[in-house]
Amino acid sequence: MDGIRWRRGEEESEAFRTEGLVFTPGSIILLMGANGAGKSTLLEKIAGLRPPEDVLAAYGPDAVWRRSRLGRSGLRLNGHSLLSYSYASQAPEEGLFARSVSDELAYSLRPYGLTEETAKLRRQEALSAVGWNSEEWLERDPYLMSGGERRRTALAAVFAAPAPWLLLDEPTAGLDGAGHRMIARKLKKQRSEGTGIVLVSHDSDWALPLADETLLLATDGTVRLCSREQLVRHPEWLAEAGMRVPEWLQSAHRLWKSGVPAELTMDPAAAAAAWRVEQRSESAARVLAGAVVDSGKEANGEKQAELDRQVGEDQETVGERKASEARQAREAQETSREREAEEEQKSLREREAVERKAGTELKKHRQLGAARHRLAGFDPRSVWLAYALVSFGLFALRDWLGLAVGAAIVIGLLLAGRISLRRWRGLIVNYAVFSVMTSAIFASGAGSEWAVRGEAFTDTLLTFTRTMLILLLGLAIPLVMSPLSLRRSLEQMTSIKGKSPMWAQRGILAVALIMRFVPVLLELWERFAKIIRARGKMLARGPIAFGRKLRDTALPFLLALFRLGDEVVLALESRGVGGIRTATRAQRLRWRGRDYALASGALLLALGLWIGFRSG
Amino acid sequence: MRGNRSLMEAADVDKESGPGAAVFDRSDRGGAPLEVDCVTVHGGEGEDETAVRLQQATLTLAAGEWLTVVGVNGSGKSTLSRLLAGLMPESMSGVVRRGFAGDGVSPIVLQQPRAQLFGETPREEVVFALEWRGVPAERISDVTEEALHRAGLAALADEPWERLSGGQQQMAAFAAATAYPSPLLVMDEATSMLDEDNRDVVMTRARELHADGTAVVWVTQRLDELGPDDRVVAVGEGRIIYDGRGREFLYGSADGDSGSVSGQADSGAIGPGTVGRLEAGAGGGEEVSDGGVWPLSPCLRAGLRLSYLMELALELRRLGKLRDPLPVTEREWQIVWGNAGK
Repeated sequence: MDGIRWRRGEEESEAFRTEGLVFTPGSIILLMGANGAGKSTLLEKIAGLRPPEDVLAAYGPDAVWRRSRLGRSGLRLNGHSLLSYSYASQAPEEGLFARSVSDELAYSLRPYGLTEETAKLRRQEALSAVGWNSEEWLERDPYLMSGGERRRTALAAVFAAPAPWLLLDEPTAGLDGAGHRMIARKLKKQRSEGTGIVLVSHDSDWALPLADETLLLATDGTVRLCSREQLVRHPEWLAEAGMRVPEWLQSAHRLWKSGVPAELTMDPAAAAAAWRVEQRSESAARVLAGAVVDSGKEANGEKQAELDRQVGEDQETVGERKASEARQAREAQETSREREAEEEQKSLREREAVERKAGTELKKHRQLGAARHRLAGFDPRSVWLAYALVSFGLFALRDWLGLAVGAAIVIGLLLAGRISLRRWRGLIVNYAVFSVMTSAIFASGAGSEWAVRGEAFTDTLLTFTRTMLILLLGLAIPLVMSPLSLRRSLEQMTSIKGKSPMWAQRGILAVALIMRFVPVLLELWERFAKIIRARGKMLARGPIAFGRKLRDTALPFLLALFRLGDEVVLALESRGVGGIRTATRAQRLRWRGRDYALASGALLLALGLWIGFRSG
Repeated sequence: MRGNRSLMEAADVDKESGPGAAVFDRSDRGGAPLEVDCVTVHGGEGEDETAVRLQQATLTLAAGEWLTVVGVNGSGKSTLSRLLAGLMPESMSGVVRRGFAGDGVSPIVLQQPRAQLFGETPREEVVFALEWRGVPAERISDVTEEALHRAGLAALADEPWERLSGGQQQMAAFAAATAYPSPLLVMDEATSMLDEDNRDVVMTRARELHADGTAVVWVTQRLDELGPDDRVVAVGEGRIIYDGRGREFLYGSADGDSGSVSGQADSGAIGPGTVGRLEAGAGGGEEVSDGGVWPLSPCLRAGLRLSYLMELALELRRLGKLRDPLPVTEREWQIVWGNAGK
């Protein structure tokens, strides 16, 4: 059903292929990978929620992305393919927005255009799948529910859609034991009914026994497909893909090695039953007891000394035998010590690996970094002053010719600073549309003659365009300066004898924080837009669909915003912000030659604009 | 707003010690324990009035202690941990004596890095934290270097967040929270978004701090983060339902000694034996066998999922293939397998 690029066949060493990866309906596929390997990203690509890059997914004949007929713009999302899956993001309950459970379910069902009867059936099934057997749950308001109940509501909405595929990203995170069992039961049922399920889960000991196939996603983007039994036999495959082999899998591996069939190792009860008891396991229990007691009184010098003596004796007088209990206790100690050393080395290696990785990333981004530091080298105050001066100059522009020069200057400055305004794309476009619309409305009210209207239109637009130029420059500032250095500069400007008044400090911190969190907010918005797109299955075309999408996204966004705000306040308080104490300042800013240069350059520019275009 | 009360108290301390003076102020109460006495916290305004986040919680934390708090989502463990950190909610009854932790808000590391990073780079973040802790300006750069180095972020100190992984961001938040010593550190599910490697780094660092005498409150849902000898407090539906050692929490108390369970009959505390019979039908059935009733895991009472290894251990015990104490750590399992033949 899926063609995903970069994929690896089962046990072959280097048999990478890029075609022919197929998942069959009626199976559960577990997607495993280290943090940052891109599990969620891959899932979103499969769902068409982010640009596909190399991944070409298709549900049967429906490719998620189709070549656009216009050619130029590249790929277009295939609306029909969106109906093929039902997707649950991480923490899906955050995407709820309706005022009742039945509205939520209806929203997920709407794109499928079911008859009322089928829809009712699906609703009931979905509710009972999350353990709600009574109709009264339909009327409940998700906002008055506990976190666990909201998760159930969200999952019910996901299960309700009659899609042949389920894409689930960490569906059990934060759920209790009963919740885990409930979801496992539902997934098995769906599988038996022919639904295909792609699952991402941290709880590998919960998920792996469910999975028919496992997809190991390595940090380099390659993928290895294997069965769970193969994983029990080869836990090292996980390590090869950059993951840690979980403790439970190591134990399952040991069980398999000691003769328990691999199929049985997944089920603790069956594995325990199949495990052969050996005579020594009796003493194993005792050894463990000993080890436990030992770890209780750690760093017991005497004990250690005795142990060392024993080791010594053992080496010197080979034939001598100690009581078996003592010996085993010592072995246990030794293995544990070896193990410790091993772990230490391992963690050292891991840390090195992390640092190495970071190093390469550093190199990769050096280009970007250079752009960043170009203006960052200036005193923020000089940047501000320069901005104010140039803005003043731009403000003096009175006609379109002047404006053209001004625009050229702004663009030139942005290019010189290598500043990309891509991040603000949406804002800029909105502002432009808003300007034109407002000007048009204003013009239509200006007079009955077309000439008058035209003049009013261009006049208004001129004012807007001028403001826009200033805005463009202003938007660039937070991109080149960090909010904290901004804060520092403002604080120093308002300070008297090295101390700025409390109100100023507070206010400035607030402004700096708002700027710091703007990107976080944009990210949050995108996240909810994605969730709504996956649930509503509609591609925004036309203002009505756009408006609806906006409405559906806004509510969960605002709620998430409040939660985020709550956490931010908490974190700030724990850092000591808000106490009576006045913050010390680690660095004082200094004006240097180039700051003077920057400011005077800006001054010249402003004067030039002002003198040149004042008269029009 | 939240925390007004603690801020007022913080102000008093500052008047005594003078602004910018020692931040690590144990004041005259030295090693007095932190006490939460019969505290009830009500849910947020506007919601159902009956929503109770924490009910008659009583807890004592000694200076330098390691306390693991477990519970499912919405159990009240976050409320409890924030209380311990000194963030007093508005609708609260009962008494909190902060004892050794002092009156200021203790450093706290939260689940989401994005909510707790205020600078643009790890270095800015640490500097920001130190500035607001009132550390003298001339010491800041040294302390910052040291904190970054300890967190393994020295090479990444000036990288913006977009270029750091979630784990690295969390380490930066951690470095900022712990850059200056504090008698108490609260980790509120700080590792839940991290993979095992990153989690180990954070965990190791927290254990180091603990070894140096800092009390640590470690809040988690992941049972594999429990040490067998850690003190574990389990929270369920706003109540403290267990307070004892890790191994007994997972497997039930070996000798039927119920002393480890918090003794408040009215707060719903139930002894291990009782739990066994209560939960036997709901997935804990393996505990009641022909061999008799085994002590049952209080963990089930807290509603947490038994991990594969726990189920395996319990099953082995039921079959008589393994005896108490049952293994908890990786090392202990190694011993079991190591002795059980190759």
